[in-house]
Amino acid sequence: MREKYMEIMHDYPFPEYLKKSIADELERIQADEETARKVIERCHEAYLRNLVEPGEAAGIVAAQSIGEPGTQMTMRTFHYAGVAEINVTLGLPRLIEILDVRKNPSTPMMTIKLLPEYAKDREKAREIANRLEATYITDIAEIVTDLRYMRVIVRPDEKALERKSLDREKLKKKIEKSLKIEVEEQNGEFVIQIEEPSYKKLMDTFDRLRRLVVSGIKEIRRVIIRREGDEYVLYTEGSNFKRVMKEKGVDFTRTVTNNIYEIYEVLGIEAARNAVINEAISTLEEQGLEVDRRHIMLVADVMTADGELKQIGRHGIAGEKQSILARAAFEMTVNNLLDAAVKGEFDRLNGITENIIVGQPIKLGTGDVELRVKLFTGGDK
Amino acid sequence: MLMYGRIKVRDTVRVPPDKLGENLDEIIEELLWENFEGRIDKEYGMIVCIESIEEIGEGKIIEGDGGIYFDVVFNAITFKPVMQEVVEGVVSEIVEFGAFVSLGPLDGLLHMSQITDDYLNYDEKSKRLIGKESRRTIEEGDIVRVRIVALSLREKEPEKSKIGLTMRQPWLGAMKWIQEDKEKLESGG
Amino acid sequence: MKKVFPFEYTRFEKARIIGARALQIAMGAPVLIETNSKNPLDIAKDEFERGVIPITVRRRRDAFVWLQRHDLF
Repeated sequence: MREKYMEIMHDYPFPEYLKKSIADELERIQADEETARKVIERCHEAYLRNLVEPGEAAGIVAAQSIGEPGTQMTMRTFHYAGVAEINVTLGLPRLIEILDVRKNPSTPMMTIKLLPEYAKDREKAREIANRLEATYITDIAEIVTDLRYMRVIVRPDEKALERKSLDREKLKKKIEKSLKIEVEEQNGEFVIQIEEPSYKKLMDTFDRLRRLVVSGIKEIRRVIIRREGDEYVLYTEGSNFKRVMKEKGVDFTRTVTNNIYEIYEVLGIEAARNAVINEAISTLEEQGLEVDRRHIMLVADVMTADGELKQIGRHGIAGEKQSILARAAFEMTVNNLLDAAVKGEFDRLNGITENIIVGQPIKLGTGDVELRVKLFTGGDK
Repeated sequence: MLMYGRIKVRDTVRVPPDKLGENLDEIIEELLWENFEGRIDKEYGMIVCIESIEEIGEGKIIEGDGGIYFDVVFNAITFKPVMQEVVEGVVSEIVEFGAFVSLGPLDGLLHMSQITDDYLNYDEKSKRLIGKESRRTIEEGDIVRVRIVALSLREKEPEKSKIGLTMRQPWLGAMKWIQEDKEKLESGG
Repeated sequence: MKKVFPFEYTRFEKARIIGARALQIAMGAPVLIETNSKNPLDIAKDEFERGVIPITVRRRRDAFVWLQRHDLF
């Protein structure tokens, strides 16, 4: 029956979620085809009546609808909260981050879903987690500097090695490859001999060793496994979308990062638009604020309309406006006017802001209506 | 050299709301007469009359005004005096310092010093100018042949436009004098 | 799928038409209906309801048109 409902609605211009909820409701009342058609027709009427009218200041309404709850956010002091023991920026700072399209958000985080054969089994999930998590030498071995013989000694911990599913041979190769230094194995220890007797060189090698990532992805600092419903999900601190997606066992269709810019680079503009919407909505919802999705969709649309992810502020939407006056009205008034004067720019007064500044009627709402006289000849009839 | 011309003009006419009850074509014609007759344009001269209306466009309503604005295309007859042009006109008024000559839509000034080589006396009673030696007279209603020697057309204030004339050249002057001269020449010759 | 808006004028257009008409009446334009009211705005509203106001709106688009809808996901 649901298919039937969906089929009737196929030609109607409803958004997908609306179609779903209409179908749900129809299913609940067990409507037959005729009733369904009538209901859908009435829904269509109501839908058209509720569309934004041409001339409506949709952007202003969106700004107010986000701005008002935003003032309440500022007043709350706790901006950090642990989600599964991971610290995530929340509240206003996070919202600013989203709208400013920061390339490096302060707390990048990923939610990694696994393929069915891995998702059910805790051990297999653990294995993927080990593969992802950045492992430093210090995690699996002890590093000692020997000043007397000018050498660095690495003492691997067998148990730790096993936990990270590594062996000595791999470790040795890894060190040799990245430091480009010969490593000698002496009764279970790795000895790295410094060629020239320089204290600085020794400390340098020591530091580089300490920073060496033996396995995993450098950006993924920590991985947490949680059971959600009937599957295991990985949460990570730090994010590297591209490499995680390539990892075996990861269901990349359901894996997300909270770094929007990364999504834009990896998946493209449409995905970035959805990411902006989802991140903004979840940030607001987490604060207990309800903003209609469509206001945020408008913001996301403006940010992504050119096929390029642009921030709202000075280096993005507001800074790229063609009108000098509109730009000057936003930020850095004098600089903008001066630059425009030097370049000999022209303001054609097409927009709203410019016309408010010069005190003219604006092309919005009633101002955007052009009246014409129906030809009427003769007088009172 | 042209004095009169026909031009086609497109302009906007505001029809005030209290005139809306009447016939639109008639009101617009009336408004055109009111607005355009006597208007002076540097290039075409003075609009003398509205000949015909060719097209009345859509009426627009602008915010803050109850009037309706129509784009109208119409034909008009213009009058443009040209420097050094010889024209004939009727003396419309005699004053102390000379005579005003009607050239049609506009009047030109014929100064005392520009009428004859002779000295002229102003006769206040009969409103005539009389030559001291030749005894030739000029009075209201005389037809004169003159040359335009000074021109100042004001777009903003048409009534302040000035045209200067002269008759102190051979074969210029009141038509009756020219006739006299001609007869004298013919009999003498 | 093409659908015309379920209303003739948007609320902005309606406001503008009634406003312009009320101003005309206030400035002495002839009233097109029989009414006892002396208030130009009331007269204009009444005229609008009866559809006798000789003013229309010039729109860039006459109808609200859904040209096509592609679902990308």
